[in-house]
Amino acid sequence: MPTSRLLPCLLAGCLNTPPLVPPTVDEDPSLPSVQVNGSLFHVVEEGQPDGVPLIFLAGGPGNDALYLSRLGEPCDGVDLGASMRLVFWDQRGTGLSRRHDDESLLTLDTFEADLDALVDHLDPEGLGVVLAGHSWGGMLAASYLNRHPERVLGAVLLEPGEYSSDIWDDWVAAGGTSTVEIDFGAEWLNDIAWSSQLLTMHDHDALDLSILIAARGVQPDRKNQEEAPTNRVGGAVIRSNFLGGFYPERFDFTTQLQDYPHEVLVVAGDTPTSDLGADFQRFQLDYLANPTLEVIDGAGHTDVVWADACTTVRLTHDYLQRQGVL
Amino acid sequence: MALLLAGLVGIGLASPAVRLAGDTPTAQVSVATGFESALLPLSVTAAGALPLEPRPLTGWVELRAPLLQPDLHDHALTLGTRMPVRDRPWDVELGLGLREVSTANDIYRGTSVGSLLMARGGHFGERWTVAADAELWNGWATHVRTTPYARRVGGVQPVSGWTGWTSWSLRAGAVAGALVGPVELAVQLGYESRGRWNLVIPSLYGRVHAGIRF
Repeated sequence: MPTSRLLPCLLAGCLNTPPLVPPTVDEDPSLPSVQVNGSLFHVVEEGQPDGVPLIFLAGGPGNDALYLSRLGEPCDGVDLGASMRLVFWDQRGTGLSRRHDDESLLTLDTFEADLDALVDHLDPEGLGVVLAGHSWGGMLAASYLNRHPERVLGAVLLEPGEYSSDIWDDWVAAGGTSTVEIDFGAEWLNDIAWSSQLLTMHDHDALDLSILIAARGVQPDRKNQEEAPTNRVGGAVIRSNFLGGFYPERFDFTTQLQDYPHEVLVVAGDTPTSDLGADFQRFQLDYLANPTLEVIDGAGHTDVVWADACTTVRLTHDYLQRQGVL
Repeated sequence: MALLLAGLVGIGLASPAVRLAGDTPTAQVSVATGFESALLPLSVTAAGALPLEPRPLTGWVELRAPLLQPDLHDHALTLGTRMPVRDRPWDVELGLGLREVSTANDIYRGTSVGSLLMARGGHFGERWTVAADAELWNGWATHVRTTPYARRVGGVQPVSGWTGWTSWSLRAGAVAGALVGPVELAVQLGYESRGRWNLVIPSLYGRVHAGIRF
């Protein structure tokens, strides 16, 4: 609205606020979506519809799958979509998927149930799927592997977080770095608080926009070659996690992890700025029965799926060939 | 009109806690800090009283800005007026205000203009005040311009223009103040409701201010 129309707008009650964030699947029915486990999810499919589903799991929790999209692009003659069904899934309350006001739905249990239902939807005959998860998405993949190893033809864990809360405690006790350390004088924190005077976080649009203010500053020690994009962050999911409502007090995805006999590919960067990088992956590698750790020189936490996506695509392609999936 | 006039003659920051005398013009300049939409923002307030009959009218101007991360784009300018209902020690004071608040961050630049409705009820003595305090802010119009970074990386829509009602907050707390000679010392604290998904946790506000009267 031009400035010259401000006065009429004020007099008339200007309530036609232009959207600051993209619409979700509820607001734009033309977006590709899947309804499972009582929610509506934004799911973009590429590649071969009849191929083995390769489900990409974004990090966070709270990020959407857009920043994993390079893993679906052809690179150096390697194209995962040439024979596979690539599934980019925005998890509950993230990206363009449905938003939920009930925070009790934004928990690890629900997200696990969502993935269970999505796999059932994509693979109703139980022929098997491949999971590729980054950071929190790697944890979710490990959780699925732990609970349903018979459904998984292959798993690619891209700088995954810890497979159990005990592992993280042991890592920190051994002198490992912590993921998030809040600096109460940080500009992003002051910016969020100050911004709340202009955009009250009474709905998901305002929340999702406002929480982006933290994106650059909340993990200042994580350095990447490029910043990866998002469609729309899941503010309520991030908020739930920040307030301690997402994870249970203790969790353990390793109870049956050793029962998965096949090779699992773990990809990590080796920069000291990545708290979930190669050192941490070596620390928790033995919880997998048959792991292969591939380290990408100079890659930061997000670089392994964005700036260095081409390397990861090649590693994944070679791995899936070894598994007989390709 | 009287309210507007009173607002214009007021100069300053945190509004006085102890009532300014109404029979002769008095003024106060004060500074405040605390936790109020930022950690340790600095507020500077100038206030004046108009000897209106039958009740005095206090007007003030407040400029507030974050102190830890100073940035001229982050500020709030408030023009306020307040009047007692009965002009007695045990009383209720009602107030109106206009506020302009601006910000610039990685995601957007914005300016909101809106209204304040204020009410205080308690004891308003000549040298001290203890009162319950409530304040409702509504940002009726906001100019938002999203940044290239937000559009490129954050999926934010390209927006540059005025939008309607985007913000509100409701404060409920208490204020206490005392005059020590010409110096006023006051503390104000309470709960601030800022929406279902508020990220400012705990949702509290508090400020201490010191002012001098002349």
